[in-house]
Amino acid sequence: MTAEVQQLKDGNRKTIEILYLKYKSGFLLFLSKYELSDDDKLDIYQDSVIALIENARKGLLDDLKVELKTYLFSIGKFMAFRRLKQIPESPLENIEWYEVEKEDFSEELETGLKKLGKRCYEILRLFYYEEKKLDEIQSLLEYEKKEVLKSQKSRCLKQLKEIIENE
Amino acid sequence: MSDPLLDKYFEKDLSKEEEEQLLKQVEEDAILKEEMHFQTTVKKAIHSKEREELKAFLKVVEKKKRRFRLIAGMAASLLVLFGLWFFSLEDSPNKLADNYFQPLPNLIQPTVRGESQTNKVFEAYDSENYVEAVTEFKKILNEPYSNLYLGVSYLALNDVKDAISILEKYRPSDTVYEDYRKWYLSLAYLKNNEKTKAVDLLTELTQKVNPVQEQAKKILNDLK
Repeated sequence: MTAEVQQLKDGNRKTIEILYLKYKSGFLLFLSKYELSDDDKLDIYQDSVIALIENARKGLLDDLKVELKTYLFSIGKFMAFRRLKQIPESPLENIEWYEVEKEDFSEELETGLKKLGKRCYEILRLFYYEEKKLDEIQSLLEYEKKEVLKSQKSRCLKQLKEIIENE
Repeated sequence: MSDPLLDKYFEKDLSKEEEEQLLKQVEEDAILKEEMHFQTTVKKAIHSKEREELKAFLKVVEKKKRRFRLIAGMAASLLVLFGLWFFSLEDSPNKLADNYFQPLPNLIQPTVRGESQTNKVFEAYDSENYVEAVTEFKKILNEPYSNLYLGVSYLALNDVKDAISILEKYRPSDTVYEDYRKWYLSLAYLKNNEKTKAVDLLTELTQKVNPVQEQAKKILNDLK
């Protein structure tokens, strides 16, 4: 794994900033073959960088066979097709993008997450967003027993439900 | 309440059999079904929240860059303004000639590859080594272009007197060389404060189509 990928996994903001500026002009040029407005292109670039970070965190870039730039540009191609509502021609197999629409969840849930305690949010974030397995979270957050983490996670979900109900 | 199969489902760790088993349970158990739905919406809401935060950060990066470009742009315009002001102070024919002077590009060498002397001389000329270029051009004065490049090299070295003496004597047969001869000679005159001689040559250059016609018009306009 390259140092860059490791820093992306750590969520290092400076690395993200440098990477964002480094590939921007090339990426926008690459997108010029698609019929997209400049705003759309910039939006796609930002989404692609986000997808890159997400996939790095999921460990999909740990043994990347191609250059990071190539990988990022494949994401861009996928995102461009998605924007144009066309079926992407086979993206690289280790690109994942979890589709989310605003209407998939309630506003109450959104605000509920913000009100959730830090520890609880971190557990849920690692499990549902970074898609880490409970075993990994156990060692990351230093729980002695997996069962303790599991019941903590259940309590967090229950808390979240209660917050939503009291909204 | 935490169903082990549900955790495994979100960990994407279910075997084919377990998946079927979970689907069956979900069909039969309304509470489990609701729990699965709830956790799925939590997953989506967290994705949305995290992405929004990252996007907001990237937009800040973008803005920062624009602001930097704006400042850089303003600094550049200030420099141009300062340059214009400076230029207006120093609006002598001499300064003007410097602004217009660009060494004549190497128009010769690509067509006569293989002749070692020509290679050598243009190697010096192209790498802006004009002292060596002068020495080398002097060795091949019988070539039709040599005096022109010799004059330009003198001019590049700011040796105005020699540039004028070479270019005044030079009588090329080729009209393109003649146009360039007049152009560089007029710049040399301007540098030597011989404005009338320069204007005469430049006026000639404006009257027929040639590679420096536009440049000649511009500089005459500046001289007014």
